[in-house]
Amino acid sequence: MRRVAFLLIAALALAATPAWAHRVNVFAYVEGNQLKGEGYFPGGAKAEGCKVELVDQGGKVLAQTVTDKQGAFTLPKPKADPPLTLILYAGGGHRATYQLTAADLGVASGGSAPAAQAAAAGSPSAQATAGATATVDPAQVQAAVERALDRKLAPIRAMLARMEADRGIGVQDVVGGLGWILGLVGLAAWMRYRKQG
Amino acid sequence: MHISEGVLSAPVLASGAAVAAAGLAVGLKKLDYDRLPQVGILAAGFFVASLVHVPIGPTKAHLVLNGLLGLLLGWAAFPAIFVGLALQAVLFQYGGLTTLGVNTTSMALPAVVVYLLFSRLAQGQGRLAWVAGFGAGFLGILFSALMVSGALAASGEAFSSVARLVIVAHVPIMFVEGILTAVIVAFLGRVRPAMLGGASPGVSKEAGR
Repeated sequence: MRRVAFLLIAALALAATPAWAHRVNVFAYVEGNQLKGEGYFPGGAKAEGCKVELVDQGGKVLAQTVTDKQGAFTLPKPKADPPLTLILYAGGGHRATYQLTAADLGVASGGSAPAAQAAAAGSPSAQATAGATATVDPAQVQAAVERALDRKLAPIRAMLARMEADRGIGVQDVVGGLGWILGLVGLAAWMRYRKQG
Repeated sequence: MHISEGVLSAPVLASGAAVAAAGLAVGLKKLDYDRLPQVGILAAGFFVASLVHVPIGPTKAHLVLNGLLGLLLGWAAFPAIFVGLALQAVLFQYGGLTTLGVNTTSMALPAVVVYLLFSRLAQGQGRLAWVAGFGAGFLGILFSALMVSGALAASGEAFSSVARLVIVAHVPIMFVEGILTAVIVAFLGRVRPAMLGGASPGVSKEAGR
């Protein structure tokens, strides 16, 4: 019997290799003035028609929307102080959250300081060349560069956000869990037989 | 079947935890320690079964095996399922630690109900064992789906729509688990009938080993 049970567990473990979780994931990133995101079930199915809420630290709902057929959603870029939390309700007791940090939103001191430096560094050179070329407004240039970068970086941000949200279940998790169960059985047996002396 | 964190209301979480604690106490008290390895093996089976997804029907649901655990372990299904769920919550991020009580109750209580309904029948011969196995596997999931729907409804979601969603998603699994449990029970009935008494003394010793 022991051997049969062992084989059963081994078979289940092998069948489990394309480890899909019975849970839902959500991620989001800033593109221009918008917060774009996607909800999906591990394994690829899109979380369609699910309610999405953006919540601040105090639990106040700042914005909400519903995912489209591709599981995607768009919200206006939030102005509230980070960190913010994005919550996706997939129904049937399934819910996913995603933390939006200051870096994700690109609004923190880390984001604005280099921009200010760039503007400061940009203006003297712009003034220096102003005589030679037509007048170029450094603020406009900066805005154009930022727009272009946002556009070019959006797929990479989406990929990174997705990787962060999408920690799969590895063999080590499964083996670790089985080890825990073995250990607990051993502990229970030890306590039991120590009592008997 | 695993309810995530932050979905249920506090009273539902508290009552789920209370029922789970009571069930755990009964399960540990009734546990026949000579059958500890069996409890461990079935807990491991339960832990791993959640990774086996059955791609039939509208959503991909996974195996639960609570009917099988109930039939083989009786009240000891409570500790086995609790340990399995706790590890799933920590390692797989299924469900969550605050919902552990509710999830334990919604899967282990049906297991015990199934044990009370079918354990005598499962010790029968031939077709009876198949019927008991199928009934245990099928009803284990159905009762769990109803309890999950009830927990969600008690937290403010409309019962009819939630129940439809949860139950429809699990109909394929009910049949898969019914057949799987029937096969295992019929097999054990031939090879090791003593295993079908639940992991508590008394019944199993009556059945003889």
